[in-house]
Amino acid sequence: MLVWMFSFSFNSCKESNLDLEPMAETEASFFKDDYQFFRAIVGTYAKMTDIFWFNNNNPRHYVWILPGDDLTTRGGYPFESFNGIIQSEGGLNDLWIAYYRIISRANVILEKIEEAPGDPGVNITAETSEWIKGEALFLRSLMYYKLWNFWGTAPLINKRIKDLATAKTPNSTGTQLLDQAIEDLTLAVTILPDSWDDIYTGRATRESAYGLMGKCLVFRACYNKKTDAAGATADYTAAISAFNSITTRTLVPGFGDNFSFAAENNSESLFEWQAGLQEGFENIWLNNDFGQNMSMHSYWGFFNCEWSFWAGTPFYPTQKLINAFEAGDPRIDESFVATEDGRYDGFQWVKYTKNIGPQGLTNSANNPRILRYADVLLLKAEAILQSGGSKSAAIDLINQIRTRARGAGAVPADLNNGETDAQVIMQWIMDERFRELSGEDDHRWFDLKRWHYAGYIDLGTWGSEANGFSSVRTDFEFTNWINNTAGKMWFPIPSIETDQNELIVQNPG
Amino acid sequence: MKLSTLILILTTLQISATGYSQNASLKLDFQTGTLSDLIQAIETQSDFRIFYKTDQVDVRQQVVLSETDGSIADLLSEALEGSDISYQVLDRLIVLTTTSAGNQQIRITGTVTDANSGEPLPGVNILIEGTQQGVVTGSDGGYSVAVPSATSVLVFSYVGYNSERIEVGGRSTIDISLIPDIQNLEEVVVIGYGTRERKDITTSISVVNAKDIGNSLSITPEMSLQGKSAGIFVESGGGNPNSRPTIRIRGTNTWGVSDPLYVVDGIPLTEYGSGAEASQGAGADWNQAAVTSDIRGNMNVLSMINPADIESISVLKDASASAIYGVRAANGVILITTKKGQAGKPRIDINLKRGIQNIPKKYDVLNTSEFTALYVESYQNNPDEMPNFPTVFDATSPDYLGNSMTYDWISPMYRENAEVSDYNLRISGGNEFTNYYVSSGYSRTESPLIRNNMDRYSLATNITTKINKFLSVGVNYRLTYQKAQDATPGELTYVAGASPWQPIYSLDGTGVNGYEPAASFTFNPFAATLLWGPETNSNVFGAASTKDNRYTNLRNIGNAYIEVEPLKGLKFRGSISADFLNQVRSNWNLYEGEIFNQTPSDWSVYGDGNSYGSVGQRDSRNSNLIKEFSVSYAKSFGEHNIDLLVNAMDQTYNFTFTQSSSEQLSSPDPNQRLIEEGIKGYSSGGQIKNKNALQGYLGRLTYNYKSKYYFDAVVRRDGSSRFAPGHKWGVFPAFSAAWRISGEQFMQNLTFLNDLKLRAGWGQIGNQETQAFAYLSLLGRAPHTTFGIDPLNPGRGYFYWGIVAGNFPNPDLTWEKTITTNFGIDGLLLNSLNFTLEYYDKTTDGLIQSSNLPASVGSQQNPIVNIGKIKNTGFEISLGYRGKVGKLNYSANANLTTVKNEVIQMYDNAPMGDEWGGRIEEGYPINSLWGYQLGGIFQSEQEVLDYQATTEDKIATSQHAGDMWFKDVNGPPDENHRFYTPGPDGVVDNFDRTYLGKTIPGFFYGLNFTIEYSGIDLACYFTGVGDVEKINGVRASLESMSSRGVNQLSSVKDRWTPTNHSTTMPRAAAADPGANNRFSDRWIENASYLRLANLQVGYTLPKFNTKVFERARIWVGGSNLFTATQWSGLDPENEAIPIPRTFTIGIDASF
Repeated sequence: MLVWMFSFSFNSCKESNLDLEPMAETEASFFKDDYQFFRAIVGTYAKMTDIFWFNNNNPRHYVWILPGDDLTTRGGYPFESFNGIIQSEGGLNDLWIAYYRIISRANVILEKIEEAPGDPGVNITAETSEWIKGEALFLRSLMYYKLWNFWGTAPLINKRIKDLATAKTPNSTGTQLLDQAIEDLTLAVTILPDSWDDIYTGRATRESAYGLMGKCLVFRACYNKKTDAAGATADYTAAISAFNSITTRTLVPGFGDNFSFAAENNSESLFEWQAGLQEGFENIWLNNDFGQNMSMHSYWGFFNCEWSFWAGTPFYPTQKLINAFEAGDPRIDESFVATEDGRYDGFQWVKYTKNIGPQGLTNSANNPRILRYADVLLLKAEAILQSGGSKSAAIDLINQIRTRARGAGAVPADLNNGETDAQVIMQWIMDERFRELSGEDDHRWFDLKRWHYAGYIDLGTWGSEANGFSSVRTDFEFTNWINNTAGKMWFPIPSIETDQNELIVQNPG
Repeated sequence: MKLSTLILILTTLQISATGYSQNASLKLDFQTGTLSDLIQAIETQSDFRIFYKTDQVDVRQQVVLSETDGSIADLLSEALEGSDISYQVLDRLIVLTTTSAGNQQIRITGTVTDANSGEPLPGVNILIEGTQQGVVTGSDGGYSVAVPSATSVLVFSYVGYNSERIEVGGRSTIDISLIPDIQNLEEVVVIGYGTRERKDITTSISVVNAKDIGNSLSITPEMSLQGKSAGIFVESGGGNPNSRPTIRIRGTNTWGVSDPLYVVDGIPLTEYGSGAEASQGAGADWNQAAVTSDIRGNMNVLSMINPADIESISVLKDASASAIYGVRAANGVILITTKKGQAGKPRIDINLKRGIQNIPKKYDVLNTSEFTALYVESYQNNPDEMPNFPTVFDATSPDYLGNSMTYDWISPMYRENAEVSDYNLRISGGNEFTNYYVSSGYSRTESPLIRNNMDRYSLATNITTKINKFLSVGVNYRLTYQKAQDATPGELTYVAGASPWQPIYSLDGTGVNGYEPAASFTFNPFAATLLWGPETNSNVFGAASTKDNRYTNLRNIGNAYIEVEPLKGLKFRGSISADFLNQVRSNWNLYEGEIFNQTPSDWSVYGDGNSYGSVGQRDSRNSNLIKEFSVSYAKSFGEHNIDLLVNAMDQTYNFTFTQSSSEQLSSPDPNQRLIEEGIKGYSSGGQIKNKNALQGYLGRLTYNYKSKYYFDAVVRRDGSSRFAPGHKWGVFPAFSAAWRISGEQFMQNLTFLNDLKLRAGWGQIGNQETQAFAYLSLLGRAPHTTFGIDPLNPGRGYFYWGIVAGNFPNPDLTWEKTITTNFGIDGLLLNSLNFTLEYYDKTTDGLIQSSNLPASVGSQQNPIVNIGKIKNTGFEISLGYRGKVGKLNYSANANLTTVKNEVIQMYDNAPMGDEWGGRIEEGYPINSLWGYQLGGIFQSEQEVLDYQATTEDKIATSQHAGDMWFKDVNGPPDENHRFYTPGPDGVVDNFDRTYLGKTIPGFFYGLNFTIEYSGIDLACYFTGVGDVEKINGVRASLESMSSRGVNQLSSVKDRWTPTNHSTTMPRAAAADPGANNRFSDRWIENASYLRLANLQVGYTLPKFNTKVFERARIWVGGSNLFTATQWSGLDPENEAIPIPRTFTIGIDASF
């Protein structure tokens, strides 16, 4: 009996019993073949959900939509009134986290691709390796582009951080964020594919990278223009060259197709975020990293869906934007409609919601268009004009936009391509961008700032009146805010960063 | 045979003295029993006949035979040794007589019972003072003894009870109740891997025994600890029978997992989600915590242990007591020991109780006209928001609802007179070889809120048997089946905030299930209209009628052991224990319920477009297998007493979670709510698995000299699968010593001092609760996205499954270490007042902490490191007094514990946590309250200007009279201050958030009183906590006066207006331009309370009913009868589902 007890106990107490393997994949066992690398890049794209989703009834779109002069709200948002933009503001913090998580996921992939040739256990084809590397570089660049435009300075992290000792990175100086994006995209355009099979449409292509590279160059040119005119001209020239490399994109005949769920990833599109819906029940309260039933959607409820926007007040066009269109411009109907009962101060925003697709405003599959060919053409016109190129060529590019807009109609008519006053032409470009790209992601506020830097406009003189920011808020305090930020107009670096990273130098304000 | 018959026989027979003699040897099948049993055995198993005089010889006394064969003389001599009975053998006749026969002895009979429970006490020693004569009570508590004279004194004594001396006087019947002595020095206390007499304990252990557990009306055993013992803080989980209480032993050790280890009959319980993965504290991974708590559901696994089966609960509080549980013991150990059978005739116990419970308070909210007036005023006060003014508040609009009637949304959430019932039947008994115990129980508890209840069926059996002198075995098995509904329609706060003009029940009888819809909509294109304007609330009652959520839980806990004792005191013991816990959670949801939803979904896109609803099931399986082997040796060498124990254990734990669901329901018929297989795209499944393993070796040496000097040492070596190779094993030592100073010669003169003991202990223990495999870089498998253009699925595309890599593995991660130092004094004065005074110091070092990295690192999960340090110090005081006035017995007990908690060190010295969640910052207690400091209310526009002349409030967009102002206490970091610079800087911004209070009570206490008078007993228990603050989240939402359409507490009627200059309630202003609702001490309240937790009055029926039952007691009780508190909400302990007030009647009977 005793022998039995002893043997039983000793057999069961082998210390190797403690050496359990996890019941899930580990990093060490992963990144071995094409498919596994693909899954890692899927995870990187998927993180963009954090930017565009319902976010537990805290959608963050107001951060990039409201500061511009195209849309406004009666609601008490600091980014509409420029009153109360503080570093603990939730939207700023959430976006910062999302951008850096995407950067981190891209950095992990870049590290693994770099290590792959030295690891005999990894069996990845050269083609996959290049493509995925190109996508990782593209997504990381897109994030640096966004970080630049909101904050101007932020930690520049182009290597995966693996230990606590190196966890704190100081913020960048000058245009480092844009420099890094341009450098990465310069590499990406050499390795990304021209297109993807139909089942992969929506992944970044060579032309996506050219588009974003050109855009970053134009932005850098604007910010450097006053201090380094020659550098700015070189950037404009490089941008034109990048834009010229885009050959397969065309303006789609119907302007509204750019916002319709049924015409996603069309020939005008260079990059969109691929919003989706769960096949089964999608729990809009669960973030994309949750697991079962998590969110894949985009959210548009702030445009007209009061009942999903709980306590929020809708966003709708400013008087300035309404005034900006010529009567009869077909883009009006695709952008806003008059309300019968006077709600939304008379006009409801319908871009993206007119053909929103299944489910709809609370969880939508309609893709936010991030980069489209019309934007590229107008940026190219601007680059040509500002680098001393052919004015008529620049005007022709604007007219391409107007031609497509009017379709078979007469309005808007072509602009006179004999115009020679660069200021007039620049105003045409700015006005066309206002009409064409209004209410779309990351356009108006970013444009206004860079034009202000470049000296094309002076935001310091803009108030809430209809020819300024055209805000309906009475507590609008842009002048006060621009003075507090020493004219830089950067948002405060969020407390989620500064609380943990004393190396950060806070933006003025 | 009666003596008269004997005389007849004697006179008619010539008796030979030879032949059958007293030397005749015989073999009896008898070992223990009454004398009457022995007589019967002798008469049936031999030719002897036995005669005695019934009024002289008491055949009810217990007799024992150690040898069962021998001569009749030997057998009788042994059996009657020590009694007053002598025998005479006359051939085949035996005559029993009492030695004192003819000395006019007085025969006393009676019954000894427990003073509190009224239960009979078997085995009580009754000694005639001044003699060696005495008897022992039988299994019914009865006794019979002959005393020489009326001046004789009987001394009744029994382990665990106060002794009683009673002079016989002229009585022939003496029934007596013995008063239990909880602090009795001989009381046996379960200490983990063994038991010990209380007087020999050198560590900090609190014990709650069966009676106190029985007095608690809760169906979960933890609640019986509340207020009963020093050092143990218990916060109720509220009125939901499925929710679990929070228990902290001597403070909060860590902001990770602070729950103690539970051990039931030696089986350490392990449950998925009880560790770091469910932690919602600062730095925790929200997704992980949410997934874990979702998987775990709302279930208190400890409610699956029937309190009626529990004999005692020992709480090991200091390291020297708990170190034998090593790596799991840092937060203390709660040892639950269940009841076992005792030798004697079968005993049947029945407890029946039935009660009702109600929440004593309700929120008082505005009626429709007050509600309308409030929001009209609120919009008028903010011109920026006036354009958003909802037309339902506008008296000039056709949409106006301000004249509607008021509907009460709160009362329908309350279940009036919710049932609590508990029925238990226990049968136990045994003989000198085998003891058995069988119990079964049923209980039902309904929450005081609707659609929430739990039924429990429990069964327990326990058999131990001694096969021979060397070998014994035992089996212990427990089966619990629980059915629960957890589908309360929503939170009380939500219904309290519902627009009062919106009806709940259908106005015209057309609503689904009799409820009034919230929305109407059309499909394709989907367009919804809210029927009560933008202020429409979800009709949660209607929605609840279209869905349900239920649990069925099954638990099997079993244990079998074999023990060999080859030499006296040397024991080898091997055991296997298992705990299998299955939880099935079933839910269904009919899509038609969307009409009750404030944010209705387009359900035409679910399933194939014709589905009635969705259905899901989740299945969690926990299996926990423990093997143990131990050797123990106890021996006394003269005055040196030694007890040695070595033990080896191996535990493996496996968890599987499987879920499946379908959004395709082809019929609303409840019987057809099945997950159909093979419906592509509409049915789905998934699985999560988890496992861990633990091994430990322990040694314990216990030594004492003359029961005066004590020394204990424990060493445990533990290995845990949770850590990387090389970091798996750790050693945890602990030492304790005691000096029974009262045992010294020089103390003997102090007769008032019965016992005085000084103790000290030191030890190191561990806490292994961290995320599984935190030393590896695990992949997250959740992210999904779509690519491509799927012509069949426009806008949605094809699904792709991603991964997230790149968290920070920490291969050096190891357990937290808690070092405890403990000093204590135990004493007993005048045989009636006992006291314990202790000081403890617990320091947790190398605390497993999520390091809060800068967000720019982009890590999905923060790396887990051993960095933090926490200190808990405090005093514990316990006092108990027992007394007696005539026939009135009474007792009073009090205990008080103080806790001082301080965060000493954190990763990177950086504070963590936000306003609502609790702040962790060096120099402050864990989870302290942190936010803006309220200054006051501007009483005039001039005051606003005066304030703004010196201070800019960046949080407010505008400030006016009636708004609140907040204090400027800190400025932004400078070169000397990393996080904030103390002192005003002229700006109120996020740096002005500061310490506002603590959530760990500074002290807590309990007071217990009992009175017993001739069968009537009364017991009351008070519990309380003090020096603690809490956020009143209900007020934060229902006094904000700024969101649209949220009804408010009637306290807002005192709001600031130009004519009512309130100093506490600000003005109403839509969208809160003054930021009055920012998180500040406005929402923080003193959450101290003193509660009459339990009051019970019982009556034990007199003895005349003995033929039906041995004992019967009926009682009525109430719990939560009275609460003294400054807390303005419903309940300072649990605001979400307040603790109900319960009235119960019950019967306890034994047969």
